[in-house]
Amino acid sequence: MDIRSQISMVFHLDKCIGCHTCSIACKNVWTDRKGAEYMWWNNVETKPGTGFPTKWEDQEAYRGGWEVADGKLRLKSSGKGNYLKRIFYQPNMPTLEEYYEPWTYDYENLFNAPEGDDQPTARPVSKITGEYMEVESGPNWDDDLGGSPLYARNDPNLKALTEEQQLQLLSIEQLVMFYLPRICNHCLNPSCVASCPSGALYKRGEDGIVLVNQEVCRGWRFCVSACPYKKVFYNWNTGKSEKCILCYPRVETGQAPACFHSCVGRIRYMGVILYDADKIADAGLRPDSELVEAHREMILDPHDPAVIEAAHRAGISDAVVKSAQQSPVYKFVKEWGLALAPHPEYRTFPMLFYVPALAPVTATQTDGLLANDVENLFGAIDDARTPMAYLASLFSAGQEGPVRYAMKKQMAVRLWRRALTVGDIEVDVARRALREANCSPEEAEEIYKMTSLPTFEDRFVIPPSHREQAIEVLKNPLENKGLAGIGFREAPERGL
Amino acid sequence: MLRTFSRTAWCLALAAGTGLAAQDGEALFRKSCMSCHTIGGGVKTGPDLKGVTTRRPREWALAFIQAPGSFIDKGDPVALQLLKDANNVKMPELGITAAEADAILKLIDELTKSGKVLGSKGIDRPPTPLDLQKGKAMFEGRLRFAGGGPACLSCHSASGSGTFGGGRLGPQLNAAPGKYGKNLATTIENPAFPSMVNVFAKKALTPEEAFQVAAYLHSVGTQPPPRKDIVFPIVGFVGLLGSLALGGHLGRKRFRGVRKNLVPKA
Repeated sequence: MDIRSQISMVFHLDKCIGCHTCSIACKNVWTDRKGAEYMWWNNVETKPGTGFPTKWEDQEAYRGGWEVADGKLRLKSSGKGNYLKRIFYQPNMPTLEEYYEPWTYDYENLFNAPEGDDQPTARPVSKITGEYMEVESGPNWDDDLGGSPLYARNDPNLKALTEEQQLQLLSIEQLVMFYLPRICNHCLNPSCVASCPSGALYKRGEDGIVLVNQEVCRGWRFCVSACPYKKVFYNWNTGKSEKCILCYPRVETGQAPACFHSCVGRIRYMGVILYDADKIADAGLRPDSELVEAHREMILDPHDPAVIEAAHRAGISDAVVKSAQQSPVYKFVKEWGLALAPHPEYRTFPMLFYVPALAPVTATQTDGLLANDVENLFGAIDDARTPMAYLASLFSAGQEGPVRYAMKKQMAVRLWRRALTVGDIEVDVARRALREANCSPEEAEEIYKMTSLPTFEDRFVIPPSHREQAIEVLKNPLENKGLAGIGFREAPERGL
Repeated sequence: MLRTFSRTAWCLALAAGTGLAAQDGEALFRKSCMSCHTIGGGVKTGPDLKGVTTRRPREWALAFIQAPGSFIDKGDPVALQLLKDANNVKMPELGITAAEADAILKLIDELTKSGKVLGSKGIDRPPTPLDLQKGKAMFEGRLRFAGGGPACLSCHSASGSGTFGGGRLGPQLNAAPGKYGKNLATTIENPAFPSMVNVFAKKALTPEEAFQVAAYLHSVGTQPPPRKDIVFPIVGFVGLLGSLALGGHLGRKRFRGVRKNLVPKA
């Protein structure tokens, strides 16, 4: 057992209102620099849709992630055979066309335009060339199903649906959508790290945050190809690759990352989990149908004394173990089985989990009246306009079981709370629903509290990084003790 | 050092006192005379000079070597006869000094006495197709000269020789056969031209080689031009198309952009 700790995340999609506050927070903090204008370390996509960069899920085109070949895990982008061949040329990278050409507007023209018959306009100006440009796409071009005949229809997840289901999903007044906020998943088996020829990418030992060392990166861009989520970006100005750093300077000081902190819908949860790194290699080789299970099996119970002891032996501090015990992520993923990783079939084992969005309307319409069908409590799930197969393609490698389980439990909790607060459902009926969803009333209460009424501390259980201890490895903090002052960098000047 | 110097000085003094020796004569003969004359090798453009000092008065010979033109101008009967024998090819004014002419005559005396032969008449047989072929190959440098001399093409050109034509340092040689006639081979073998003398001094062509090159030059312009190779360009063009098609086929799964294929052209 090789126990490690990992800061992981849960996004509760039912609560996401698609306001993009997270994206703006991130952009303002990290990517408003030259060469980084087009990067969105955090972005919010509308599903069904093609996302950013366009159709990032289409690994037939981008060849990201891992594949199993001859009983071994292999990078889909570059096997050992063509590694050298591709060192100067990554053929499957998204281009500026797939991202978008970043632009600003010629605002000055609004003030300085000569007097004329027409209102002056602020024409878009490319942030790359500085020339006037025609805007043809943006990072969020298909927001709220904009251009859906084109974008929603080309969602790679629709392949999982039958022709009829696709027609239903995309027909007028049936078209449904939900939001999918995305950041770097800080995967357990990151293909970007594996692909880097320079060894610039690394996964931090203490918290599993995946980073690009800007001093080592040589801009080969293997990571851009290898990341199936297309969350590593190449900075055309510095010639280095960059990615979400999970705001580690904030995390190290106990603060939630900027996108978490600013989230209006409070959909984001952060907590540390303990996992067994020895299991990664075998888990990666399991068939698609077992990947969700294999992923969850790696996550260890932080209350198990054997795990705690092993964690201590592995140098994980008691504070981190305690933090893991209170981790909302552990509860969502492991205890409740509500949260699922995006596209587990890429075999990178993302450590960002999503609670799939439950259709907001649970009542059915009968003779113009809304009613809850007591005989068919979970009928709303299968009747939902988002087909189960679509969610399964997104969150469980096509297995409907784990998604249905998460949906049923959410539904049961909703029925339970409705029975308690509104009372139009019998408590017995709600209990039956809970039983059928494999949920106890206590668990339902917990889920309800964590979903609807969580405090800041409930949502973000950030383990102390103990930088003050870590620094002792490199430097004696007392080395200047007893010395007079800190000295002068330059001789002090006297007089005028 | 001092001794070397004094010996050199002594030698110089000796040379000044006695004139040029017979061995200097040989160098002079090779350089100035051998393209037209032999000593005991037979008649070339000019007569065989073996025994010339017995045939003619020494004074006459000395003067003639230094200024052959003047003898013809003043109507010397011997000189006119010689001109007639030589097919009206006048002996050029070679700018030979009295001392040099003396040395050449000494050489002739010596070789006449010893019976040694200097210079040859060259080969006299009709050239075979193989001669032409080899001559062309040597002219173009595809076949090396046995002596290691540079190929003609480095300085000369001739119609149809070489893919990109020849050098421009020396004259174009199409007209050479007309000028030198049957003596072209010996001229090539013992070139008297200032640039060629030094180049071929130690790397002379064999009579056989000179004959073949001359045979080739004689053939220039008389042979039909070589048939244009039609197969090579066709193979090249088909090969180009084939390799383009192969490259396209191998790269058929290449990344062609995603958004471009999604969005219809406006």
